[in-house]
Amino acid sequence: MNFDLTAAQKEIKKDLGLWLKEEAEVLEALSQQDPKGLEAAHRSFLKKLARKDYYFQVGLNPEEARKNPFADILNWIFLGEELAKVSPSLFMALECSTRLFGWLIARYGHESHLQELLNPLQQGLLLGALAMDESSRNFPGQEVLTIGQKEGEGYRVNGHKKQVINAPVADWLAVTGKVEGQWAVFLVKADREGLLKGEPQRTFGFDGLGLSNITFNQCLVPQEQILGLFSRPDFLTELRTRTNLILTVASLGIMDRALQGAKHYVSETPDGSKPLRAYQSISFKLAEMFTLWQTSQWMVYRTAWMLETRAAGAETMAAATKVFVTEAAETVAKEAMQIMAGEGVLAGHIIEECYRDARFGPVFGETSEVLRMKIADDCLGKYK
Amino acid sequence: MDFAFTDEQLLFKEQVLKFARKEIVPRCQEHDLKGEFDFQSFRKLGEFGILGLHFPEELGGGGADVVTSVLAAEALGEAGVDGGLTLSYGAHTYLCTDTIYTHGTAEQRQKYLPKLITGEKIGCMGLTEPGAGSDVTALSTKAVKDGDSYVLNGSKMFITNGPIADVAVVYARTSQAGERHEGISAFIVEKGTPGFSAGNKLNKMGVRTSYTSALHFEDCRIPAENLLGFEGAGFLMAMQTVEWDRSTLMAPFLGGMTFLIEKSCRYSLERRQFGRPIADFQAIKQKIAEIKIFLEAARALVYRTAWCKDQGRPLNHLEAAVAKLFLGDWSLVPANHAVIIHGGYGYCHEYDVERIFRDSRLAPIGGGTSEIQKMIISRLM
Repeated sequence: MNFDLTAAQKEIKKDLGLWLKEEAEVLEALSQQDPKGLEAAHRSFLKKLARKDYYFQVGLNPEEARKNPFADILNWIFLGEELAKVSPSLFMALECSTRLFGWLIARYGHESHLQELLNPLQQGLLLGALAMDESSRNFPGQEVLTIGQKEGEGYRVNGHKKQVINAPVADWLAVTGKVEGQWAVFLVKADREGLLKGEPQRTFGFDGLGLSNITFNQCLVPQEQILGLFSRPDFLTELRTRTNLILTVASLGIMDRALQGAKHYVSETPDGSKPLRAYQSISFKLAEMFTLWQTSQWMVYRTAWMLETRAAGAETMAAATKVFVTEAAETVAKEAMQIMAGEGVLAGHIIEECYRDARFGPVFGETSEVLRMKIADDCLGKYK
Repeated sequence: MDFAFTDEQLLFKEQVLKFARKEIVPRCQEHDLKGEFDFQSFRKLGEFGILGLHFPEELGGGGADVVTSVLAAEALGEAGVDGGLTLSYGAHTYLCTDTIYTHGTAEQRQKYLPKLITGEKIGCMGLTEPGAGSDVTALSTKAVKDGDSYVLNGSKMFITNGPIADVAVVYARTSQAGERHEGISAFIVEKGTPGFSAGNKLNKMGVRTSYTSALHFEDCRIPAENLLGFEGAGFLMAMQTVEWDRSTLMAPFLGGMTFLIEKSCRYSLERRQFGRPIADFQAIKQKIAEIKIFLEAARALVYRTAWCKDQGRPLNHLEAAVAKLFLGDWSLVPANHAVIIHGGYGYCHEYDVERIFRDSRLAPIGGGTSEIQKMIISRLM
C-alpha cells in the first residue's frame, strides 16, 4: 500500500501545472471563441502541449495498450486533473481525441494506423473524435444501427451517430458499428464522401466544446481503415469506461475551479468588511464542498489503480466513481454559486460556468441512472 | 500509488470475518435488545487477539500494523457485529490501552497492558465533561498534587465503558496557567479507588450493548506515579487518539456498509411483491447502488489515515476531519436506504438493519461532531 505519488509523478504534475498557469490567459479565451476561432485555438494549443511530450504519450504506448486496456491510466489521471481544473472544456475535447480515438488506434490499430494517425496525434497535429452513441435513448445492449456492407475492397457504411464530441473539428473519426454481424470500428477521414456532419450543437455547459450529430450515407470505408472484426463488444465496454473516466476527471477539475473561486470570494474584505468565510453558514458550506472534492479525488485514484491492475470489481468501482464524482461536482458548483449570491449567476462568471459544466457529467457517457442499475446488478449478482 | 493490501493482511481479515460470524454475531441481537454488554464476546475478542492487535508481542499483542488493525475492525462490521461491541472495543483498545502504551512508563505498560490486551480488564477514556464536549479544553476536572499523590475532583460525561471499566485514562486540569490546553494532564485511575465512581448506565438510542455513563471523582486520591507522561501533556495525548478515531474506530462503519449491502440484496431477492422479487424494481436497485457508492467513496479515506500512521507521519488534521465528516454525515443516508428496502421489517428490532440504522446515528456525534469537523476543515483548507 502506498498513497503517495512517486517523485517522477510529482515532478511531471508540477511541470504541467506551472506551464498551464503560464498559458492561463490563452485557455481562458478559448471558451469565448466562435467555432472557427475555436478550432484554430485548439489546434494551436495542441501543438504547444505536444512539446510536453509526456501528455500525449501516457497510456498510448501500443505495446502496453494491447496488453492492458487501462495501462498507465493512473499517470494519465494525475496529468489530466491539471488540465481539467484550468479548462474543463478543452480537457474534454483533447481527451476525447487522445484517450478515446488515440487509444483505439494504440490498442487495436495496424502498423499503418500508428504511423498515419497515432504519431501525428501525439505531435498535436491531428484531432480525433469517437462516434459511439446512436439513439437519444442510449440503453445498454441496444442494437447498433450503423452497419457496413461489404463492397469490393471496402465497406459501404450507413448509420447515424448523435452528439459526437469534436465532430465539427476532428480530422478523423472512429465510428463504432457492425459488419457481417460482428463488431467493428470504422476509421473515417472527416472529409470523406458520404460522411455528413450536422450543424454544431450548442450545449448548456462546456462552452467551446465542438459537438454535432453525424450521418453516414453510403460512405465507402476502405478495408484497411477498419479495426476488428470483434466477436464480442469488449472494446465498447472499455470505451464506455474510459469515457466515464474522462467525465469523472473533468468533474474533479470543475470542483477544483468552483472551490478555488468560492474560497477566493469569501476571503475578500471589500471596504474592510468582515470576510464571508467568518460566517459559519458559509465556512461550513466550504467544508462540505472540500470534503466532496477530496473524497472524489481519492475515489478516482483508487478506481484508476483498480482498472490499471485489473483488480476484481474494478468496473463496478468505476461506475460508482462516475456517479459519485459527477454528482458531487454538481453539488459543489451549486453551493459555490449559492455562496457567491448574485455574482455567481452572471453569465461568463467562473462559477456560472462551473455550474453549467457540472451538469454535463451525470448526463453524458453512461447516465447516473444506468450506472446505478449496473452497480446494483453487480451487488445482487453475488447473492443470486 | 498502490492501494493493494498484502496477502497476510487479507488473510487475517478473512480469519476475523469467520471468527466473528461464528463466535460473536449470533449473540449480538439478544444483547442489543436487552441493552447488555456482552462480556463473553469481549473476552473472545481478546482471546482472538483483536484487543491487542497492534501492540508488541512481548506485552501480549499481535505486533500488527495499523492497516491490519483497520481491516480487522472492518471485518467485525462486515460480519454484522453490533456497533456497541465495536465501539467498546475501540474505546478500550485505542483510547485507553494505546494511550497507556504510547505515553506510559515501562512499569505502567507492564502493569496494565497484558490484562487489557486479553480483555480480562476493561478500559475507558474520560475526557468529555458535562460542560466540555466539543470544546474539550474547557474541561474543569481538577487534579491537585499533594505529596506523592494527585487528588482528582470533577465529573466526566458520555464515557464509553464507564460503568464496567477497570482502568480509566482520565484527563484533568493540573494548571490554570498558560493557554487552556497547556494545563491538561492524563492519569490512570483504577476501579475501586476511593472517591472514584461511575454513574448509571445511560439508556441510548443505538450502540446499546456498549455501556456509557458519567464518571465522578470526589477527592479521589491516586498515586503520583499514575500520571501519564508529564504534567501538561494531556491535551496532545488526547489529540493523538484522533488518529485511531479516524481509522480503526471508523472502519467498522465501512464493514457495516458491506453488511448492509449483503442484507439488502438477500432480502430484496427473497421478498416478492407484485409477483416478482422486489430486487427487480429500479427503486430498490437505486438504493442498493447508493449504499455501494457510499462504501467505495469512503474506503480510501479510512485506509489512508491508517497507512499514514503506519508510515509514522503526524496526523493530517484536514484529511482526518474530511474522513470523519464524510463517514459520519454521509453514512446516515445508506443506513436509511437499507431500512426502507426492508419495509416494515426494517423498522423491527428483529432485523439487523434497524439496529445498524440506530447505531450509525452516533457517527456524526461521537469522537468529534460533524460541526467540529467542518470548523477544522474550513480553517485548514
